Amino acid sequence: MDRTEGSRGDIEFLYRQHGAALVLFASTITGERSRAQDAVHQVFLKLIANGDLSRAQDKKAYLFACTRNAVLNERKFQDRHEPLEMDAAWFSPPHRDIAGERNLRRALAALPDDQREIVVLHIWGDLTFAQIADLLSINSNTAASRYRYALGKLRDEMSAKENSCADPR
Amino acid sequence: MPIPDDERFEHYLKQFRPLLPDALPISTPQRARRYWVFGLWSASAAAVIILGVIGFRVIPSRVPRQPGNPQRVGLTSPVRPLTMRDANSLLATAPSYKSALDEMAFHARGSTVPKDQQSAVAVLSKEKIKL
Repeated sequence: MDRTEGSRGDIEFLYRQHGAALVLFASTITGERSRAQDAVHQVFLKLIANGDLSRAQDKKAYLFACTRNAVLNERKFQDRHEPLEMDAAWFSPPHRDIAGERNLRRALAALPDDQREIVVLHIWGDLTFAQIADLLSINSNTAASRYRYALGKLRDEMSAKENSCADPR
Repeated sequence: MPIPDDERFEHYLKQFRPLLPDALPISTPQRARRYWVFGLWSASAAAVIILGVIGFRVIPSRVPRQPGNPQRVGLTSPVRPLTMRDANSLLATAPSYKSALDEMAFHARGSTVPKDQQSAVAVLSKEKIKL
């Protein structure tokens, strides 16, 4: 296998490994899963065609950064900021808990943009606060505190929904 | 739902796995090669068919004129009407009466008589001459 095939294979492997989290992350910014997927595909196709990941120290963080840039550029180009899509699922619900998935999706949508990004990057992207801080150009302590605040809001939002479902009043 | 601490809540959230995206829209080299070979075969087949059609149309027109074949003669040879002078000349020069008649009969000459006129041979051939 020559070098180009090896690097292309590596990139495709990274897509299989991180593609789901990348599309989720892009979805929380764009509001539309289809546009999010297009953006992620663009990133990987560009990497396959021109790029070389061997120089990136942290490949996973690099991919999240590329995805974020692609989505923000596309949004700037389109000159629009769509509200988050409420109907399409973002997650595969455990134990067919479709209501739980919808609950989570709506709770995430209710968060401010910066908090939502940090929660998704840390929980589903598995990035550390240092990596997140680097990606978002903020301080790691700021990233950590925004995360804790966001997690609390998520928990409250989801608990309130659960309680309102339990109490039909 | 009881309010769990951060770690337990994180664990709960991680049970919701992000949906898998579609496959990357790229063509593999093998697939591209297959398309190329298929395209080459299709082009070759089309070229053979086209050449066959052209050859089939060209060949009949190149078949040389066969003597005694009135259908061919009418298509390719120049048409000259049989005049009385031609008939007299044939009778005078032919080695025999029979060969003169064969020459007249089997070398069909297309009629170039306009519609408002008649051929003298055609008219005379219809008349019953009492000798």
